[in-house]
Amino acid sequence: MGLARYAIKRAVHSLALVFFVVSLDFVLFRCMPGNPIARLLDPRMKPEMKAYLMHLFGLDRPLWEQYLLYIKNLMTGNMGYSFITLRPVSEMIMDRLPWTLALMVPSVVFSLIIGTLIGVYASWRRGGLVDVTTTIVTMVFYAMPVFWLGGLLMLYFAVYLGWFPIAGAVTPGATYNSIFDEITDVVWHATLPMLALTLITVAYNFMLTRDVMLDAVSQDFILTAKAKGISEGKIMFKHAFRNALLPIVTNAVLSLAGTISGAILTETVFSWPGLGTLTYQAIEAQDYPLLQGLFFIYTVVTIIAIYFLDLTYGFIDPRIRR
Amino acid sequence: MRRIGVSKGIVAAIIIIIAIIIAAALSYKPTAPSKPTAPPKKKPPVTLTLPMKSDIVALNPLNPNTNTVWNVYVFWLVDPSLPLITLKSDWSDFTGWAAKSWEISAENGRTVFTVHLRQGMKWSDGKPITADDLIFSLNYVIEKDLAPTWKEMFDKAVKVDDLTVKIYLKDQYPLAYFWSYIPSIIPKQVYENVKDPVHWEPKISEYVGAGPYKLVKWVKGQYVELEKKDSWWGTSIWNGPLVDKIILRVIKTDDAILLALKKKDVAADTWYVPPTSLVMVNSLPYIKVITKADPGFYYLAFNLRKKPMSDLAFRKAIAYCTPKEEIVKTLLLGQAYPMPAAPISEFYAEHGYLAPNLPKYEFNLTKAKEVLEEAGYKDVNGDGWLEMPDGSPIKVTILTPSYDPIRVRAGEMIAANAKKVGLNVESRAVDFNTIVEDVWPSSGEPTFDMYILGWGVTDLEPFYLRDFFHSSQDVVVTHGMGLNSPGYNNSKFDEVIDAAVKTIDKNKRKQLFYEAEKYLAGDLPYVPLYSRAANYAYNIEDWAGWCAEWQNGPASWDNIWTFLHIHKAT
Repeated sequence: MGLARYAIKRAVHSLALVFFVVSLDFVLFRCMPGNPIARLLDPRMKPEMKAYLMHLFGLDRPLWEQYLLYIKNLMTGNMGYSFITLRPVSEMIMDRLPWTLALMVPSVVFSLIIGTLIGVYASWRRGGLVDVTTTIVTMVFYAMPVFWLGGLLMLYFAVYLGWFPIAGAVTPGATYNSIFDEITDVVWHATLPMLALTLITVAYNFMLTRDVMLDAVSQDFILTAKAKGISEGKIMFKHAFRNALLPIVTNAVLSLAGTISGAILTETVFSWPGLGTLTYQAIEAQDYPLLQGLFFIYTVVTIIAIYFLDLTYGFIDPRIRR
Repeated sequence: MRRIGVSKGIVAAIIIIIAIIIAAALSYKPTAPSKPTAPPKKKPPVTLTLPMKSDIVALNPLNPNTNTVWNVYVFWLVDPSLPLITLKSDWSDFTGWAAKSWEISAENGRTVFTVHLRQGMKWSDGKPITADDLIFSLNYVIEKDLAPTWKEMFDKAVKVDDLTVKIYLKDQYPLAYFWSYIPSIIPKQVYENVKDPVHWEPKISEYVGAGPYKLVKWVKGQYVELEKKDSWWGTSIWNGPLVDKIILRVIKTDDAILLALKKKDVAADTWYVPPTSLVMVNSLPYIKVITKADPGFYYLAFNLRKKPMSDLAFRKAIAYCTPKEEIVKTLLLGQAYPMPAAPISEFYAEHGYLAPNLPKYEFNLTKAKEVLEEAGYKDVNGDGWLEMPDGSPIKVTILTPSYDPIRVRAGEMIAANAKKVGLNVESRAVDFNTIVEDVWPSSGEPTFDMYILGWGVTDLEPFYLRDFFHSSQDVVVTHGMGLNSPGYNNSKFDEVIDAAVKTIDKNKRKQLFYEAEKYLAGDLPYVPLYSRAANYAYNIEDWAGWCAEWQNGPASWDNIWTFLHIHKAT
C-alpha cells in the first residue's frame, strides 16, 4: 500500500474514531448518576423559568434530536453555551488554552529530555550507583501527590525564600514596559508549577527509557559492537538508543498531545488559569456543555496525534503499511 | 570516549538552559501594581489584595449565576445594582445605603414602605439616581420574572417626588422579613434597552455602577482590579473609602490562601480557616483569628410520606441514635455547635431565637430501644431486624452527598447506631444531583427515605422556618419548587409561622417563633445535626479599620463597612 493511500485510510479510521468518542461522550453524560440539568434547575425556580431554560439549552427536545443537533453544532464549530457563565464554550476554552500550553509544553519537554537522558545513562550503568540513585529519587517524586509536593515547593521557594510567587500566572495589577517583561513575569509564575510537574512526570520517562534500553543493550549486536572496540558513547546512542527509539517517540508524541488537557491538580494547587482548572470548575459546577466541549477538544487532539504517529511509523517501517 | 563527552555536553547544555530560565525568573522584579505615573512627590496608591477561591462568573447582577460570594464583592464595591438598605456593622438594625431614611406604615392592613433616597447620588456615567430608577427597578424584575418572592409581595410603587417613593405591599410584613427581597436599584438608562437581562453581559468600559469603586480590569481566571472613584457621593457620608485600589485575585486552595496570608501577599483569608490549619494561623503574630457562629446548619430530613419515617417513634429513635456531640468533636474537630431539637443554629440561639425548654434527644441507644418497644416495634420474622407495629418490614437508606466526607461519615455513624437498636438502616453516599432529583422531583412524590444536607441561611430572624416547613411549600404541592422536602403538614404550625412573618412587633414575633420551634422539636421532620463555627483570619499588623463585628467575617463579600474604612496601619 502506498503512503498516500495509507494516510487516507488512517484518516478515515481517525474520523470514525472521533465520531465514536463524541457519541460516547454524549451518551455518558446522560447516563451519569443524577440529572445533568438538576444543577441548572434550581428547586426554587418557577416552572416557566425552568421551561425557558430547558428550551434555551434544547433539553425539551427528544434525545435523538438533541444528539443530531449536537453533532451538527460540533461540525460548525459551535460547542454550545456554558450553563454557568452563559458564555460560548469555544470562547471559554480558547481563553484558557494558551495558559495550559505555556505551562504544560515546557514541563513535558523538560521531563522527556531529562527522563530519557538519565534513562539511557542508567541502563548503561545498570545496577551501579547512578542507576540505583536515579531510580529511587525519580520514584520518590513519582509517588508524591502533587498537592503535597506543590505545597512544599510553595512553602520553601515562595514563603521562606520568597523567590517565586504563590499562585496565578501573572502579577495582579502589574503594568509591563515590554513584551519581554510580560513573558518573564509568566515564566516567574510558571517556575514552581513547572518544577512540580517535571519532577512528578520525569520518573515515567526515565523508567520507560531505561526498560527499552535494557532490552536493546542485551542484544547480540551490542556485544559485537563492543568486540569491535566501538566507543561506549557511540554504542549507547548510535546503536542501542536508535533501536529503542520507537516506544520513546510514541510516548513523547502522546505526552505532548496530552498537554492539551492540562494538569487538573497542579493547575488547581498553583491557581494556574489553564484548561485543567477549567475542567475542575466544570466538574464542580456540573457544567455539562463545557465538559462536553473540553472532552471533544481532548479527543480530537489525541486522535490527531495518534494519526501522525501512525504515519510516522508507516514512513519509518514500510511493513506497517501492509 | 569522545562520544561520551558529547552526551555530557548535551546534559550540560540542558542544565545551562534550565539555569538561565531559573535565573531569569529569579532576577525578575514585577512592576509594582501601583507603580506611580504621577509626579514623584505623590504618594504611591495603597492597594488592598484579597483572595477569591473562584473567579467571578459575569458582571451582570441580574444573571442568576452571578449569585456567588465572589461576585458579590464586585457588586458591593461597584454597585451595578444599588441596595436601598443594609445592616449596621453589628447586625443590630438596618441602616440606609441608597435610602437616606424610610417610614413603614399600614394602609388597610397592608405595609407601605416609604423610601427617601439620598440627594446627589449619581451613576458612574454621570446620570442622577432618582425615584424613576427605583420604580423602574421594582417593576423590571417582575416583568422579567427574576424575583418570584418579590412578585408575591409587591403591589405597586408610587412616585411622591424625585427622591421619594411609596412602595405598597400586598400584605402586612415586617421589614426584617421583606428587606432582603426588595430589588436593588439598577440603572434605568442601561436596562430599559435590555430585553433579555439574564443573558446580557455589559462591557467593562461601559459598566455602570454607583459604588465607591470602578472596575478597571478583569483578567479571567486570575484577578479583578478595582480603582477608587475620584469623587463618590458616599464619601461625605461615610468618610471612605480609604484604599486606592482593591485587587481580588484567584487563589483556589485553602492551603495556598493561608500561605499567601503568611507571606502577606493577601490581607485576609476571605473564606473559613479550616480547623486543621488553626494552629499554624494562630502562630502568626500579625494575624488575628476570630470565630463566628454560622447562621446555616446541617440536618437529616425524613420523608414523612413514607413508612416508617411517617411514624414519630421511628423518627425519635433515629434522633436518639444521632451522636451530635461525637460528630462535632471527631469529624469537625470541635469547630461546630451541636444543634438543638429545632432547626435553630447557634447564630440564632445567640440572638435569643431558641425556644426555652425544647425536648432534648441526646445520644442514647437505650432510650432509642425503649421508644421503639413502647411503640410496638418487634422482630416478628426473626431476621434480626425490627418490623413496624403493623408488621411492615423496615429497610431504609440515608442519602449523603459524596463530596462532603463529614456528612458521609455522619450518615454512616447514624446508620451504624440504628443497626445496634435493630433498625435496618443503610447510609449511602451519592452524587449531590441524585439527592436533589430524589428530594425535589418536578412531578410525583419524592422517593428518598432520609437524607443529610445543609442549608445556608441569611435571614436576620428564623423566617426560613416557613420556607422549610409550611405545608404550602411541600415539594409535591409545589411540583418540586418548595423547600418543604419532608412533606411536613401541621395546620397549627402553619398558623403560627404565618403569623410570625406578618407580625410587626419584634417581641411578639419572637414568641411566635418559639411556638413554631416547639412543634418542630416535637414532630421531628428534621434531626438538626450541627452548625459550623466559622474562623476568620486577617492581618492586623499592616491593615487597620477592619469591621470585625460583621457576622460573615471582617473581609467577607458583603462587609462594606470594612471596605469603606480599611487603611494601612501606621
